[in-house]
Amino acid sequence: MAGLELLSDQGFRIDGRRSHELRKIQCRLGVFKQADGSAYIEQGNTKVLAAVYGPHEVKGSRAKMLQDKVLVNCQYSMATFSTGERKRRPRGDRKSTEMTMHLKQTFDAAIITNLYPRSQIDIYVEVLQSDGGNYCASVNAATLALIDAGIPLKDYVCACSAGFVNDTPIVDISYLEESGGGPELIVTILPKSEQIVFLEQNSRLHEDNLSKVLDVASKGCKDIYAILDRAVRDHVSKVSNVANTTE
Amino acid sequence: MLTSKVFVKKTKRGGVLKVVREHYLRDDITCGSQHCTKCDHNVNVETENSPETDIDSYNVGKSKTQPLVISPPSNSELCSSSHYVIPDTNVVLHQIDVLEDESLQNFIILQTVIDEVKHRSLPANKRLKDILANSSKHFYTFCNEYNSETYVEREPGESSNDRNDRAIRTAAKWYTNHLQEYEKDISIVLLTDDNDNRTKAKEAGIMSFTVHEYIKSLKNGGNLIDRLAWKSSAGTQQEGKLIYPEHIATSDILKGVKSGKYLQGSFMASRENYLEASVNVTESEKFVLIQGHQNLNRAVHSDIVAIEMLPEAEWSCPSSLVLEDTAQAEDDALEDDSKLKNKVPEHLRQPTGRVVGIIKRNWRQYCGILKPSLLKKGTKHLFVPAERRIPKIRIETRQAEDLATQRIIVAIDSWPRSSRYPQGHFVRKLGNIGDKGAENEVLLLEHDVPHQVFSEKVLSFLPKMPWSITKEDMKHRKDLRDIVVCSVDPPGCTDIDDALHCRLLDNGNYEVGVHIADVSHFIRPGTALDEEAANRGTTVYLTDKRIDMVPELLSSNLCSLRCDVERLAFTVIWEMTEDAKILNTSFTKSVINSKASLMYSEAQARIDDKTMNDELTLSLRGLNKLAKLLKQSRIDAGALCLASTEVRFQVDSETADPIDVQTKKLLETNSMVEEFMLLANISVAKKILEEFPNCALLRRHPSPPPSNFEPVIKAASSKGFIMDCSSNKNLAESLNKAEFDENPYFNTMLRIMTTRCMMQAVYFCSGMLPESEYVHYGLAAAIYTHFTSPIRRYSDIIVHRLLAVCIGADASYPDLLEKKKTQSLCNNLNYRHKMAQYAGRASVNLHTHLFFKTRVQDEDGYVLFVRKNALQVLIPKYGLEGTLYLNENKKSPTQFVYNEEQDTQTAGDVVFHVFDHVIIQLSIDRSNVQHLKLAINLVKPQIPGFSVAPASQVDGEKEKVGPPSKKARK
Amino acid sequence: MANDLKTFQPKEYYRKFLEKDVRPDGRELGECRSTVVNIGSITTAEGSALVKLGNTTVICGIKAELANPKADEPKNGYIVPNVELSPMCSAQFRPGAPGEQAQVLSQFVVDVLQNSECVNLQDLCIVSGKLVWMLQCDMICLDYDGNVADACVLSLVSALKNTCLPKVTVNEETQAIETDDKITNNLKVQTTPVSTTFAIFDDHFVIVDPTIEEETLATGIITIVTKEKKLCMVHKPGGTPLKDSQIQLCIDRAIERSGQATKLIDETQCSLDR
Repeated sequence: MAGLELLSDQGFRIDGRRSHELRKIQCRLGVFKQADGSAYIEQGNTKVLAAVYGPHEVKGSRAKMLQDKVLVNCQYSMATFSTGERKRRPRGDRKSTEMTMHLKQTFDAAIITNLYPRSQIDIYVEVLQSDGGNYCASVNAATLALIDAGIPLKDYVCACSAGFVNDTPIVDISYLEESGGGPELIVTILPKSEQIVFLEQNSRLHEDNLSKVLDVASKGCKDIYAILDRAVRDHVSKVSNVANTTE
Repeated sequence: MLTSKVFVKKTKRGGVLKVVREHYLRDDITCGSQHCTKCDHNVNVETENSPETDIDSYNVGKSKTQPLVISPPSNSELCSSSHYVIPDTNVVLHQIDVLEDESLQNFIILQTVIDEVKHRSLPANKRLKDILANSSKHFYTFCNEYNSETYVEREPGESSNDRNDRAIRTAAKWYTNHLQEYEKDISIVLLTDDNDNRTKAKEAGIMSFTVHEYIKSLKNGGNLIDRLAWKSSAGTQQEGKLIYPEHIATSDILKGVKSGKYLQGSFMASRENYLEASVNVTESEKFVLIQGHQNLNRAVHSDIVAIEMLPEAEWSCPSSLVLEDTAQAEDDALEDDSKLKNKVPEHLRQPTGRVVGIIKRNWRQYCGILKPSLLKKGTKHLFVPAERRIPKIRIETRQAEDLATQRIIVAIDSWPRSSRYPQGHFVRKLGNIGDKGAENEVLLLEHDVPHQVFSEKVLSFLPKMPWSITKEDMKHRKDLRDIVVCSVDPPGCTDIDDALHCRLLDNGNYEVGVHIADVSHFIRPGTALDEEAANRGTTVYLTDKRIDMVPELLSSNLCSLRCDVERLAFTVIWEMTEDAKILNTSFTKSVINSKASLMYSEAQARIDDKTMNDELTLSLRGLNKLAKLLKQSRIDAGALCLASTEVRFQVDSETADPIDVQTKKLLETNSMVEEFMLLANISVAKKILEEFPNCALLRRHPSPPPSNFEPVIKAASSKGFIMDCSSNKNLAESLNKAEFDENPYFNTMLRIMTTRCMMQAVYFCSGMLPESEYVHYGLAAAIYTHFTSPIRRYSDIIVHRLLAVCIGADASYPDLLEKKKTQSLCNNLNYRHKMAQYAGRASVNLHTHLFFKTRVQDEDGYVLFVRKNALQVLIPKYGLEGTLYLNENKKSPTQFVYNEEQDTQTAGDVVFHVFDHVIIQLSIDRSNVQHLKLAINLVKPQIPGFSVAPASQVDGEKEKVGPPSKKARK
Repeated sequence: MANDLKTFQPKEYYRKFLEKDVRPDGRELGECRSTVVNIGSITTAEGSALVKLGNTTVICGIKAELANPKADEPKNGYIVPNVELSPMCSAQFRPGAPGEQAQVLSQFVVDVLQNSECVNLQDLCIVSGKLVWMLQCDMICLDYDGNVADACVLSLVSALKNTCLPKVTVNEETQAIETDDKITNNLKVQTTPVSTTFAIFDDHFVIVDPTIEEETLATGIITIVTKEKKLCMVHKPGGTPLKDSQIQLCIDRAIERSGQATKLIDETQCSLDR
């Protein structure tokens, strides 16, 4: 819709958030029994499932096996009903393949790979409903799933997106704000060491504004880290309680 | 708390799309009243100020978040306690003029209302935003859509209008409850014109009134009542019989336009004939003629309308009559349209249509004067706008007697079918009619020229005096202070933006330098000063006044390249051979020290004086020589030299009344400076395009379509000359050959007519057009821009910035490199430029009329155009064009016969053709105070019953036939 | 020790349980796993439902599109189901094109819809011969723990009941499609077909709602689809032959199950409407 103001004069975005506020995040670990680790995360209207299988023997072509590291295999797919218009190809189209590659690269850096040579870890991500920030929610869900599977990670991997409207950086952009055409920055961070694992920026952004937007996105990642951490601790305490009572 | 908004949209391919959006509801939205201690008002204060340690910033922060004062004194008799007012959408849209008044304060504008206003009317939205930004008015914006307590969801079966009304009532109720618990009761008043809404509000316990009731009840509301717009006619009965046909509903119009039944276009009323207009159809560049009241159907100039084509048998042609509206205020009947329906020869017919509906109204505020009604006690009067294309407006006011002598501003509210004229309301008055200040004000307002004094904020960005060049500045600049630089300008010029020098190099070549004032050093991007300059776009030159684009400190002092002071400049240096061939070009920021500020005449005198041989004169001679060579090569390439009718008024120093008028004389030195400015502009254009192919700000002049040249070709052929208009070179050659010995002015007139055929030169952004469109027809240049006058043109400042980035002398900033922003800036500059030109011409007109206030003179004139009921005569001395009406006095024995084929008017044995020489008498016709017209009467050739006596002749001379008859002018 | 037996001789392990009329997870032979239905969670889809049969999780999303009807059936819309078994739900599936099992399941669901006529295709017609609705039903299995067929059918039917289609009209003059702002009309679902799967073990043990281990060990499978006490479809793809009486038992059990499932769906529907 032409003329839609992404940031009103009073400082509110279209959905009523202020520029520094994240969307509502809800997450759960251990939702599936079949998978070794699974998680479900909802960031606003974006709903993502992640399932992790492994570490197990390398399936498929033996040639891909690495002698000193574990092979991380990712697959990103979007349900056909996840977007406004039905998506014809859930996987295999260019965007999904690109996302898959990015996820693989991100987690290659985060998993302590030399602990499982000649093995394979599979990470499957399914987007059930898409409303902007697909990649970020996928990364966050996959982190939780990996933790649920018990695979050793260097640190939590948290991702957050940010945009720039009316000279103000806004954090955690929704689909409507993405399609507004302004610049978009996605950053993935290891929160404790504040190292950037993955950074992607679209559209034109003047270099003077880069640091502002990057700061805002990093802060968003740290906030998400706090939420994920709490969810993990809750889950673990629940599971350990159950374990205690059955013994 | 999170809810979601779900609705269904249609996609382009015709599919259906379900859209889901989140909607967060918060509880930290404050009520904005200083009274209230419940809300945490510090939540929203921006952290840009330091934490509130000092009282000042605390108060500033407080006033930003809590604009509503504690106990606003109540001025209204309807509600005696202190109260805040909540207006609804229609009130804001229709009564925006009243809301802008200072006496109305402490209003709460709801987010629902703002969203609807934005949706329905962008100009009203802009004005609303300005009101909200004005802190002295104490208006507060309450975001009721995001507040968890006041958010309402649409119920099934409820229309969106009802839902919005309900949201407004809920917010009012919330406010009433919220502020109720304080000792001093503050109540809430809801303003709405909708009866239904008021009843529901009363049921809910909210006080509510109509706008009219409220304003009338205010103690100082007297003059506000006048400013109230008429009540919208929705639901009220139409008084009187319906004169105009109905407008078709918008949805039907859109369907019709899509299916091709109706055409959409912008409505352009004719200046000469109030019963005629043409519609410029979008996408097809066609013009459709509309004639007659019924067909015009209440469209106002610059509206976007939907028209239906009439069958070919009813097609007509533009009337060659010149007509004006003479009806009275109470008169609601329309004239018989048959006046216009003359039998039109078939080959002259043009597509004709009628207006069936209005798509978008583009009403603004209009300046003009009041024409009091003939009834003594009447309150309804007619307002006559200064712009002739706008119809008269009926307004209601009690101050008619005071206002009769004033220039006033009026806005249109509506045009019901039963009313001959649109209805409007008075906004404010400007000053006495005829008073130069008021007239200038009208001129500036009608041409949308921003002319207010520069605000404090803008002035704060000026450098502090005393200012001098620092070492820092010198570091990045070339020191050219010892070069003999001089500037050549018109007399009385204080804003000198260019200076030149020329010296012979050792290798026999010439080094030529053009130095332009370095304005971009002072005006930094993003500052209020920059924004104000960008808005103004150009300096406007009126005859007696100059509306500056930048404050005087810069324009006449720090930026102006005055002699004997060091100044910062942006320099272009060429090395050229003796034959003016350019070997290389370089650009640099520099510091110069101009050795002389000469006038054109002084410079010319120096060049001609063989005894002067100092460095400065040699430099001038060199420049002159090279300039001539450059000009010749331009003419060989096809550049056009056209004539204009510019004149200069000599103004009496005490009374500021014009004493005499002179046409501008062109000396060699004018041409010299011009050539180098052109060369500089072209060189800079090439450089910035090279570096920024996507976002360079350039200037183009599209070649006119062949049809534009028809009047010139026709006029020239009547004297036996053939004009070849196929290319600019051919046109220039044809013009040069068209000399008529018996009439030396003929060639000049032909050039003047050619000037009118030209298209407008415009600014544009290089990324928006293909390279073939960059040409400048008039200058025969493949690429052109404006670089040499940054003090008076904003485009030059942008070009300076781009060039500075090219040479590494300055940093870029995001907006500079944005294609779309540059194009929208160009659009604004083109608009301002055009308006400045019109304003300048109107000012000259104004002064011409003032000049003739006390004089009657006989002058030479030439017939420019022959029309059905008039001759248009050009008076070269004053650069004026006047209309000589024929056949007005029906009783006179002499009647003129118009021959359309041959384009002549005949009376007896005197025949008038185009280019004929006549002698006419100029005087002022005072019958219409607003449009003081120049009365033109024919002196020679003598026609009995028509011509008047020569002014200098004493009565009783034998040559005259019959008593001089004074024509009554409309 | 039990684990060793389970790993090396799974069939023996199972037989031991079945002789006692019970299953390793504690259920009786005729008992179904706990069923959970969740409706309307995916707001971007016109209708959606999530069904958990024990651990088996299937989510169904329905997207509506506009399409031209077939020339020989101008008044009929389309319902197109599609089942996806991704490697996410179980390690046994490979990424890539839909495998054999997924395709068989999709066809099965198509048959169920056709045979039960649960949605009248003419309800999907907007303008006869020109414009009809096409409902794309995508079922994604998220966790594969046996008996995916039942879960798919159940989720499809729940999602269909949850579907809301916007009102669409075609303007005569301009041939433009106009939509009404507020979404109206729930899709009319005439009947509720419910499928019940039985696994045949060792020729005479018939267990209802098999888990994945039971499926791999079973020697045959039979699926019965019923709608409101009437038999709709029977699907027995080879495997151990069954006697009449056994099939009659299965049918009775299936009817009982269908009653429970229908009640569950309706309750969930009601709680959503509030």
